[in-house]
Amino acid sequence: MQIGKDIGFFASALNSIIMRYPFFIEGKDKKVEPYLRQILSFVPAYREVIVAGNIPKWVRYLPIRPKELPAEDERELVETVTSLFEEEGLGRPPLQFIYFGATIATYNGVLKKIPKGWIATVESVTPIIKELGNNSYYVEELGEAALIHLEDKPKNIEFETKLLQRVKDLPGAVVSFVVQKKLNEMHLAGQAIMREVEEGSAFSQAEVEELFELDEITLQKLIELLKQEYSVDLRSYIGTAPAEVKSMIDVLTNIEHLIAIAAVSKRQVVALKRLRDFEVSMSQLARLLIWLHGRASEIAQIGKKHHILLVSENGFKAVAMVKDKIGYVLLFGKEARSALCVAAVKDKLNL
Amino acid sequence: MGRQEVLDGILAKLDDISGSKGCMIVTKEGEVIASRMGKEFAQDKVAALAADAVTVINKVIAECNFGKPDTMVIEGTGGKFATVAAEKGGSFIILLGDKSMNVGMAKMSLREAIDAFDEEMA
Repeated sequence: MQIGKDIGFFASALNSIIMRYPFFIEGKDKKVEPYLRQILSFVPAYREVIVAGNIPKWVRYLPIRPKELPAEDERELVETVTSLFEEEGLGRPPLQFIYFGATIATYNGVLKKIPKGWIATVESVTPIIKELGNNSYYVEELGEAALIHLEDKPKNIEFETKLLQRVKDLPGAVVSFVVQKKLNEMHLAGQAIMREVEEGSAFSQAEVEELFELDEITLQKLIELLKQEYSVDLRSYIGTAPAEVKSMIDVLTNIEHLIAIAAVSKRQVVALKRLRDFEVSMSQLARLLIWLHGRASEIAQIGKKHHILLVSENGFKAVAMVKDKIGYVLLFGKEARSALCVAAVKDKLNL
Repeated sequence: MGRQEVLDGILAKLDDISGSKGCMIVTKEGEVIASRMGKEFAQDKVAALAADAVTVINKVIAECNFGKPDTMVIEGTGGKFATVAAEKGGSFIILLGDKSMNVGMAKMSLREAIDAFDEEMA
């Protein structure tokens, strides 16, 4: 099935899956099954998936390889699922619990006692909405399907919307592939970042974005995801650029033919902005040119105020200048003219 | 004519450009193989900067995916430093000048010098 114009419905489901916010899916009959299949295909493959209730046959053969739990004894089910969630702290993979054919009784007896990471299918959302009363929730409807998210409506689902926007007109299986690929990349990046941080490495946001090929929106989502799945708040470990550097980068962005800008402070890239796709390692280029810039003032009579212009054989240009102890490196396309690049950067930096 | 004399001749021609304070040929390992420096520039310091520039150029080629550098210019309030890579010789020709040196002219002269150098090293 294609997502088409119904991005909002699927983006809200994807957001709840990523953040492990609990939600209900209404499905009265077979017509809703494609929506359910599509939504369940978003559950990241690296999660351990536990299913219970009136499990449809097709669920048993999903690529997420769910494990079944007996649902007859509700108390035992709650205890098992809760203890599995607790074992995440001991290194168990992040868990996702899916209950098929939930009722009000199941909600009160089982789901209400599991604070996160569950999805439940229900025949009708109306009694559930009645039961929720004054609790936080919001509803997304699409034809005969409906979702009840047990959270306030998220203010920002830019990551999910952008991801689905790219594939909205493609077949459902392709959408699932793209979502899985992205979530698994983020998972691997998260594991690597956490390992480096544990070993004492310090990263700036710009370095993380370039090293792990994450854009700013994806990195923010990854930070939220790691907080949810591993209770690790990376914000305390990833340095962000000072406000004056951010505003200077914004000023420099207006220069013509620009591909990317990096700001370097004390040998670390503190900010990086890409305006066009170009597979140059901007962090490394910036660090090297700013290092050379420093060496030039130390060892030759070039003068304290100077700049470096590096031109590649295929016409790309890199300009390095320093202002207020921050090194700025700007990469220009081949259509840019060397002298104009240097003059424009000097003008914007007021040098 | 010996190779050293040819290289000295290339540098002498390069040094003729207005504002030039000296020039040198440096290997990709950063070793000076020919030099013609004005007294106001300490040759060892310029050679050190040349070696650093060559290190950066090598790393830019190997690690940054920027492409093979054509020219590198360091231009400051006190002087100018321009370098061009020689394809066949695997070396770099470096030109140092004062504030008045025209960088565009310098690059043209450097390219001529590179052609002569490549011819000699072929």
